Amino acid sequence: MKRLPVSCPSCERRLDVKRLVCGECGTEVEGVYPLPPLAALGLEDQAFICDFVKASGSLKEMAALLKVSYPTVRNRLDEVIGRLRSPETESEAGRGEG
Amino acid sequence: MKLTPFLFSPFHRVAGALSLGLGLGAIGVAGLIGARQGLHFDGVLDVHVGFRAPWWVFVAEGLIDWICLAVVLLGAGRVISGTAFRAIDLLGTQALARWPTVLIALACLAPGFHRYSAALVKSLTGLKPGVVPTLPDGVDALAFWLVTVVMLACTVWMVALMWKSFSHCCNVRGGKAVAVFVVGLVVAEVFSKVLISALVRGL
Repeated sequence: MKRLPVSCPSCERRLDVKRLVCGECGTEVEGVYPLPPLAALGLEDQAFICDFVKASGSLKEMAALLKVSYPTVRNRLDEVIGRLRSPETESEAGRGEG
Repeated sequence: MKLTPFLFSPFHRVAGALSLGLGLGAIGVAGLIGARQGLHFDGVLDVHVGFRAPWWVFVAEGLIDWICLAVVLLGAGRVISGTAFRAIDLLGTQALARWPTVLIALACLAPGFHRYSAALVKSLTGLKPGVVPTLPDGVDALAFWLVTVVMLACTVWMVALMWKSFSHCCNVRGGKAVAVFVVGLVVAEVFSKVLISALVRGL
């Protein structure tokens, strides 16, 4: 599976989307679009958020699913929250809303 | 399961009510084994050979040790932690962190340990200036020193587990968290000593 690159390999700044294409008819849209905050997270974080939403936001259910303790899931969620609150992610989210 | 995470990071997988049940079971077992030989866990980090008492006194000592540290760290965690942690996780994992006391109690069952302890206390009690105490050597001495090493190792291990419990459940780390934990340990030690003294006086 190809991974969506989120950081510039040269300066490590968050990458923007320049071109979008319709997989059906091939129509292309070009512009500069910031990545949504969730898309800017790493693949593991994204998978965690998907599982979390599927578990109706229940940390208890997540703990059972991942076969770890409740505080382990809580700490993992805190890490993701920390990354979403990081200045870079917040500025990207701000640009996206503007 | 790998050995190192099992020994030092069990709370990655076990917390909450399960850890509370297992931990209280371990405290009870350690107390009952201790009652057979007059082994008192008379402080958060203390273990001493002492007077004979009803079995429930030994179990109560372990429970007092646990609750003192758990409550102090719960308060400290609420102050310094930036996350909404559950009290049951900290209470449960702190109880489970005391499971090395079972190994300490078992180690003290070693033949010769209590004989050598009694001889040591007797020789030190009646010690006169300039007189070198004579102690039995051989198997009893070997048993005593081996058990002492096991006790020290288990105590260090127990403190490591207590720290892991606090750090993991409250999601705190770094110098500030370590300092708060050490102060909490000292405060809980004092509280437990006071409560256990009151318990023993009431017998």
